[in-house]
Amino acid sequence: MLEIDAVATGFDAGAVIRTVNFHLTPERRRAEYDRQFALYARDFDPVTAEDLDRVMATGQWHKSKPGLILAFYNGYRNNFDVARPLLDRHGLVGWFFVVTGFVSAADQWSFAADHNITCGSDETPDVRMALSWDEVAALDGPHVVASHTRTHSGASVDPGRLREEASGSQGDFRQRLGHPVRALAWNGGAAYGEHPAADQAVDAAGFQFVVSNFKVQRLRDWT
Amino acid sequence: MTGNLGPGDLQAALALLSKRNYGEEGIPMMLVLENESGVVAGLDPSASCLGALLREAARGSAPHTREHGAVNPALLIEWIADRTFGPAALAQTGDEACDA
Repeated sequence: MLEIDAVATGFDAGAVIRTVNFHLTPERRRAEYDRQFALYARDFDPVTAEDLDRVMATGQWHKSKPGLILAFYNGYRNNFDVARPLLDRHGLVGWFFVVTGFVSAADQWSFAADHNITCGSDETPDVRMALSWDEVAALDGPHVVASHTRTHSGASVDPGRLREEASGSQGDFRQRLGHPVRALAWNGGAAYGEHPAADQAVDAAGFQFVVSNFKVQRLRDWT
Repeated sequence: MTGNLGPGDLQAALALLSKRNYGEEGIPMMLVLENESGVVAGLDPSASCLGALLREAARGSAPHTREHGAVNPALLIEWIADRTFGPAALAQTGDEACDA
Protein backbone atom coordinates (compact mmCIF):
# COMPACT_ATOMS: atom_id res chain seq x y z
CA MET A 1 0.00 0.00 0.00
CA LEU A 2 3.02 2.31 0.17
CA GLU A 3 2.69 3.06 -3.53
CA ILE A 4 -1.00 3.84 -3.11
CA ASP A 5 -0.28 6.13 -0.16
CA ALA A 6 2.35 8.05 -2.09
CA VAL A 7 0.09 8.51 -5.09
CA ALA A 8 -2.90 9.44 -2.92
CA THR A 9 -0.80 12.04 -1.13
CA GLY A 10 0.09 13.54 -4.49
CA PHE A 11 -3.59 13.59 -5.42
CA ASP A 12 -4.45 15.25 -2.08
CA ALA A 13 -2.09 18.06 -3.03
CA GLY A 14 -3.78 18.50 -6.37
CA ALA A 15 -0.55 17.51 -8.12
CA VAL A 16 -2.38 15.59 -10.80
CA ILE A 17 -2.38 15.45 -14.54
CA ARG A 18 -4.89 13.26 -16.35
CA THR A 19 -3.70 11.11 -19.20
CA VAL A 20 -5.16 8.60 -21.63
CA ASN A 21 -2.78 5.93 -22.84
CA PHE A 22 -3.10 4.46 -26.32
CA HIS A 23 -1.11 1.94 -28.30
CA LEU A 24 -2.58 0.82 -31.61
CA THR A 25 -5.34 2.98 -33.09
CA PRO A 26 -6.83 0.82 -35.85
CA GLU A 27 -8.99 2.24 -38.60
CA ARG A 28 -12.02 0.19 -37.58
CA ARG A 29 -12.15 2.12 -34.28
CA ARG A 30 -11.94 5.55 -35.90
CA ALA A 31 -15.52 6.53 -35.02
CA GLU A 32 -15.01 5.45 -31.42
CA TYR A 33 -11.85 7.55 -31.08
CA ASP A 34 -13.62 10.46 -32.75
CA ARG A 35 -16.39 10.39 -30.14
CA GLN A 36 -13.90 10.08 -27.30
CA PHE A 37 -11.70 12.90 -28.55
CA ALA A 38 -14.76 15.15 -28.87
CA LEU A 39 -15.54 14.55 -25.19
CA TYR A 40 -11.95 15.15 -24.16
CA ALA A 41 -11.85 18.38 -26.13
CA ARG A 42 -15.07 19.51 -24.48
CA ASP A 43 -13.80 19.05 -20.93
CA PHE A 44 -10.03 19.39 -21.13
CA ASP A 45 -7.33 21.55 -22.61
CA PRO A 46 -4.38 20.04 -24.46
CA VAL A 47 -0.95 19.91 -22.88
CA THR A 48 2.16 20.72 -24.91
CA ALA A 49 5.70 20.11 -23.67
CA GLU A 50 5.95 23.84 -23.02
CA ASP A 51 2.71 23.75 -21.02
CA LEU A 52 4.01 20.88 -18.93
CA ASP A 53 7.32 22.61 -18.35
CA ARG A 54 5.56 25.80 -17.34
CA VAL A 55 3.11 24.21 -14.94
CA MET A 56 5.76 22.08 -13.30
CA ALA A 57 8.15 24.98 -12.92
CA THR A 58 5.57 27.46 -11.63
CA GLY A 59 2.76 25.35 -10.17
CA GLN A 60 0.32 27.42 -12.20
CA TRP A 61 -1.91 25.99 -14.90
CA HIS A 62 -2.68 28.79 -17.34
CA LYS A 63 -5.52 27.32 -19.40
CA SER A 64 -9.21 27.42 -18.56
CA LYS A 65 -9.87 23.70 -18.41
CA PRO A 66 -7.78 20.99 -16.74
CA GLY A 67 -4.99 19.58 -18.84
CA LEU A 68 -5.12 16.19 -20.48
CA ILE A 69 -2.22 14.29 -22.03
CA LEU A 70 -3.21 11.88 -24.79
CA ALA A 71 -0.26 9.50 -25.06
CA PHE A 72 0.43 7.11 -27.92
CA TYR A 73 3.05 4.44 -27.32
CA ASN A 74 5.50 2.63 -29.58
CA GLY A 75 5.19 4.65 -32.80
CA TYR A 76 2.52 2.88 -34.79
CA ARG A 77 1.66 4.04 -38.27
CA ASN A 78 -2.05 3.97 -37.48
CA ASN A 79 -1.44 6.62 -34.81
CA PHE A 80 -0.53 8.90 -37.70
CA ASP A 81 -3.20 7.70 -40.11
CA VAL A 82 -6.12 7.47 -37.68
CA ALA A 83 -5.45 9.31 -34.43
CA ARG A 84 -3.54 12.33 -35.73
CA PRO A 85 -6.30 13.70 -38.00
CA LEU A 86 -8.80 13.31 -35.18
CA LEU A 87 -6.53 15.06 -32.72
CA ASP A 88 -6.09 17.91 -35.18
CA ARG A 89 -9.81 18.10 -35.84
CA HIS A 90 -10.60 18.44 -32.14
CA GLY A 91 -7.72 20.77 -31.32
CA LEU A 92 -5.97 18.19 -29.15
CA VAL A 93 -2.28 17.49 -28.72
CA GLY A 94 -0.91 13.95 -28.78
CA TRP A 95 2.26 12.78 -27.09
CA PHE A 96 3.87 10.18 -29.33
CA PHE A 97 6.34 7.97 -27.45
CA VAL A 98 8.34 6.46 -30.27
CA VAL A 99 10.55 3.37 -30.19
CA THR A 100 13.17 4.70 -32.58
CA GLY A 101 14.50 1.29 -33.58
CA PHE A 102 10.99 0.23 -34.58
CA VAL A 103 10.71 3.18 -36.95
CA SER A 104 14.15 2.50 -38.41
CA ALA A 105 13.84 -1.29 -38.65
CA ALA A 106 13.97 -2.80 -42.11
CA ASP A 107 11.79 -5.68 -40.92
CA GLN A 108 9.32 -4.12 -38.51
CA TRP A 109 7.42 -7.34 -37.91
CA SER A 110 10.52 -9.16 -36.75
CA PHE A 111 11.53 -6.16 -34.69
CA ALA A 112 8.11 -6.07 -33.04
CA ALA A 113 8.17 -9.79 -32.32
CA ASP A 114 11.66 -9.54 -30.83
CA HIS A 115 10.90 -6.51 -28.66
CA ASN A 116 7.49 -7.17 -27.15
CA ILE A 117 5.66 -4.74 -29.41
CA THR A 118 2.07 -5.77 -30.05
CA CYS A 119 1.13 -6.22 -33.67
CA GLY A 120 -2.36 -5.29 -34.71
CA SER A 121 -4.66 -7.94 -36.06
CA ASP A 122 -5.50 -5.57 -38.91
CA GLU A 123 -1.96 -5.24 -40.22
CA THR A 124 -0.31 -7.63 -42.60
CA PRO A 125 3.42 -8.24 -42.92
CA ASP A 126 3.58 -6.66 -46.36
CA VAL A 127 2.43 -3.32 -44.99
CA ARG A 128 4.49 -0.89 -42.93
CA MET A 129 3.36 -1.03 -39.30
CA ALA A 130 5.49 1.69 -37.68
CA LEU A 131 5.63 5.40 -38.33
CA SER A 132 8.08 6.55 -40.97
CA TRP A 133 10.62 9.19 -40.01
CA ASP A 134 8.80 11.64 -42.28
CA GLU A 135 5.65 11.01 -40.24
CA VAL A 136 7.53 11.46 -36.99
CA ALA A 137 8.83 14.77 -38.34
CA ALA A 138 5.29 15.80 -39.30
CA LEU A 139 4.08 15.06 -35.77
CA ASP A 140 6.95 17.04 -34.25
CA GLY A 141 5.68 20.53 -33.55
CA PRO A 142 1.91 20.25 -33.79
CA HIS A 143 2.22 17.34 -31.38
CA VAL A 144 4.87 16.11 -28.97
CA VAL A 145 7.40 13.50 -30.03
CA ALA A 146 9.05 11.65 -27.14
CA SER A 147 11.25 8.62 -26.59
CA HIS A 148 10.06 5.17 -25.67
CA THR A 149 13.70 4.04 -25.92
CA ARG A 150 15.44 2.58 -28.93
CA THR A 151 14.27 -1.03 -28.59
CA HIS A 152 11.27 -0.85 -26.22
CA SER A 153 13.54 -1.37 -23.26
CA GLY A 154 12.76 -1.41 -19.59
CA ALA A 155 14.90 0.36 -17.01
CA SER A 156 16.40 -2.71 -15.36
CA VAL A 157 18.76 -3.87 -18.11
CA ASP A 158 22.54 -3.58 -17.87
CA PRO A 159 24.11 -0.09 -17.76
CA GLY A 160 25.70 -0.29 -21.17
CA ARG A 161 22.40 -1.06 -22.78
CA LEU A 162 20.63 1.64 -20.77
CA ARG A 163 22.94 4.23 -22.27
CA GLU A 164 22.26 2.87 -25.71
CA GLU A 165 18.52 2.97 -25.13
CA ALA A 166 18.44 6.51 -23.76
CA SER A 167 21.26 8.31 -25.57
CA GLY A 168 20.88 6.11 -28.63
CA SER A 169 17.24 7.06 -29.08
CA GLN A 170 18.09 10.67 -28.40
CA GLY A 171 20.76 10.46 -31.11
CA ASP A 172 18.17 9.06 -33.51
CA PHE A 173 15.92 12.04 -32.84
CA ARG A 174 18.77 14.48 -33.24
CA GLN A 175 19.69 12.94 -36.56
CA ARG A 176 16.15 12.71 -37.91
CA LEU A 177 14.43 15.73 -36.35
CA GLY A 178 17.40 17.99 -35.86
CA HIS A 179 16.94 18.25 -32.12
CA PRO A 180 16.65 16.13 -28.97
CA VAL A 181 13.28 15.34 -27.46
CA ARG A 182 12.27 16.29 -23.95
CA ALA A 183 10.49 13.23 -22.53
CA LEU A 184 11.25 9.55 -22.11
CA ALA A 185 9.11 6.66 -20.92
CA TRP A 186 10.71 3.29 -20.17
CA ASN A 187 8.84 0.19 -21.20
CA GLY A 188 7.26 -1.04 -17.98
CA GLY A 189 6.85 2.48 -16.66
CA ALA A 190 9.77 2.79 -14.23
CA ALA A 191 10.10 6.17 -12.58
CA TYR A 192 13.27 8.20 -12.21
CA GLY A 193 14.76 7.13 -8.88
CA GLU A 194 13.89 3.45 -9.16
CA HIS A 195 17.05 2.34 -10.97
CA PRO A 196 20.22 4.43 -10.44
CA ALA A 197 21.85 3.23 -13.66
CA ALA A 198 18.73 4.14 -15.63
CA ASP A 199 18.72 7.55 -13.97
CA GLN A 200 22.32 8.09 -15.07
CA ALA A 201 21.37 7.13 -18.62
CA VAL A 202 18.44 9.54 -18.58
CA ASP A 203 20.68 12.32 -17.26
CA ALA A 204 23.40 11.64 -19.81
CA ALA A 205 20.85 11.73 -22.64
CA GLY A 206 19.52 15.06 -21.34
CA PHE A 207 15.83 14.26 -21.05
CA GLN A 208 13.78 16.81 -19.18
CA PHE A 209 10.80 14.63 -18.29
CA VAL A 210 10.36 10.99 -17.33
CA VAL A 211 6.82 9.69 -17.71
CA SER A 212 6.19 6.58 -15.65
CA ASN A 213 3.30 4.48 -14.36
CA PHE A 214 2.37 6.88 -11.58
CA LYS A 215 4.27 10.10 -12.21
CA VAL A 216 5.51 12.72 -14.55
CA GLN A 217 8.86 13.93 -13.26
CA ARG A 218 10.52 17.15 -14.36
CA LEU A 219 14.25 16.72 -13.93
CA ARG A 220 15.75 19.94 -15.21
CA ASP A 221 15.27 23.17 -17.11
CA TRP A 222 15.14 22.87 -20.86
CA THR A 223 17.59 24.92 -22.83
CA MET B 1 -17.69 6.97 -4.39
CA THR B 2 -17.43 3.35 -3.37
CA GLY B 3 -20.02 3.71 -0.63
CA ASN B 4 -22.68 1.92 -2.64
CA LEU B 5 -20.25 -0.59 -4.00
CA GLY B 6 -19.45 -3.64 -1.90
CA PRO B 7 -16.03 -5.33 -1.92
CA GLY B 8 -17.31 -8.01 -4.27
CA ASP B 9 -18.65 -5.37 -6.61
CA LEU B 10 -15.33 -3.57 -6.59
CA GLN B 11 -13.53 -6.78 -7.45
CA ALA B 12 -15.99 -7.44 -10.24
CA ALA B 13 -15.48 -3.91 -11.55
CA LEU B 14 -11.69 -4.30 -11.44
CA ALA B 15 -11.89 -7.66 -13.17
CA LEU B 16 -14.04 -6.16 -15.89
CA LEU B 17 -11.66 -3.26 -16.26
CA SER B 18 -8.65 -5.53 -16.63
CA LYS B 19 -10.33 -7.25 -19.59
CA ARG B 20 -10.15 -4.11 -21.70
CA ASN B 21 -8.14 -4.30 -24.88
CA TYR B 22 -5.07 -2.41 -23.72
CA GLY B 23 -3.63 -2.64 -27.23
CA GLU B 24 -6.40 -0.60 -28.82
CA GLU B 25 -8.43 1.23 -26.19
CA GLY B 26 -7.50 4.54 -24.66
CA ILE B 27 -6.87 3.84 -20.98
CA PRO B 28 -7.53 6.82 -18.69
CA MET B 29 -4.95 7.26 -15.95
CA MET B 30 -3.83 9.94 -13.52
CA LEU B 31 -0.22 10.84 -12.85
CA VAL B 32 1.37 12.75 -9.99
CA LEU B 33 3.44 15.72 -11.12
CA GLU B 34 6.80 15.93 -9.44
CA ASN B 35 9.62 18.38 -9.99
CA GLU B 36 13.02 18.84 -8.38
CA SER B 37 11.37 20.12 -5.19
CA GLY B 38 8.69 17.46 -4.81
CA VAL B 39 5.07 17.29 -5.90
CA VAL B 40 3.65 20.27 -7.77
CA ALA B 41 0.98 21.12 -5.23
CA GLY B 42 -2.16 23.08 -5.94
CA LEU B 43 -2.14 22.50 -9.65
CA ASP B 44 -5.62 21.06 -9.87
CA PRO B 45 -7.70 21.66 -6.74
CA SER B 46 -10.67 19.92 -8.36
CA ALA B 47 -8.66 16.72 -8.23
CA SER B 48 -7.79 16.87 -4.55
CA CYS B 49 -10.66 14.53 -3.66
CA LEU B 50 -9.09 11.82 -5.79
CA GLY B 51 -6.67 10.89 -2.99
CA ALA B 52 -9.56 10.01 -0.70
CA LEU B 53 -11.19 8.02 -3.48
CA LEU B 54 -7.99 6.08 -4.05
CA ARG B 55 -7.61 5.24 -0.37
CA GLU B 56 -11.25 4.20 -0.24
CA ALA B 57 -10.79 1.94 -3.25
CA ALA B 58 -7.66 0.46 -1.65
CA ARG B 59 -9.63 -0.29 1.52
CA GLY B 60 -12.38 -1.79 -0.59
CA SER B 61 -9.89 -4.11 -2.21
CA ALA B 62 -8.57 -5.37 1.14
CA PRO B 63 -10.71 -8.56 1.20
CA HIS B 64 -9.38 -9.48 -2.20
CA THR B 65 -5.84 -8.78 -1.04
CA ARG B 66 -6.27 -11.08 1.97
CA GLU B 67 -7.54 -13.90 -0.21
CA HIS B 68 -5.71 -13.47 -3.49
CA GLY B 69 -2.80 -11.08 -2.97
CA ALA B 70 -2.43 -7.38 -3.50
CA VAL B 71 -4.44 -5.60 -6.15
CA ASN B 72 -2.32 -3.84 -8.74
CA PRO B 73 -2.23 -0.18 -7.61
CA ALA B 74 -2.32 0.95 -11.23
CA LEU B 75 -5.61 -0.84 -11.72
CA LEU B 76 -7.19 1.00 -8.79
CA ILE B 77 -6.09 4.31 -10.26
CA GLU B 78 -7.34 3.26 -13.67
CA TRP B 79 -10.68 2.44 -12.10
CA ILE B 80 -11.00 5.88 -10.55
CA ALA B 81 -9.82 7.51 -13.74
CA ASP B 82 -12.32 5.55 -15.78
CA ARG B 83 -15.18 6.50 -13.46
CA THR B 84 -14.24 10.14 -13.29
CA PHE B 85 -13.15 11.00 -16.82
CA GLY B 86 -13.46 7.89 -18.94
CA PRO B 87 -15.54 8.34 -22.09
CA ALA B 88 -18.62 6.77 -20.51
CA ALA B 89 -18.37 9.06 -17.48
CA LEU B 90 -17.89 12.15 -19.63
CA ALA B 91 -20.81 11.22 -21.84
CA GLN B 92 -23.08 11.07 -18.79
CA THR B 93 -22.06 14.23 -17.05
CA GLY B 94 -20.59 17.60 -17.67
CA ASP B 95 -18.81 17.54 -14.31
CA GLU B 96 -16.04 15.02 -14.27
CA ALA B 97 -14.57 15.91 -10.89
CA CYS B 98 -15.24 13.47 -8.06
CA ASP B 99 -18.91 12.68 -8.18
CA ALA B 100 -18.72 9.40 -10.08
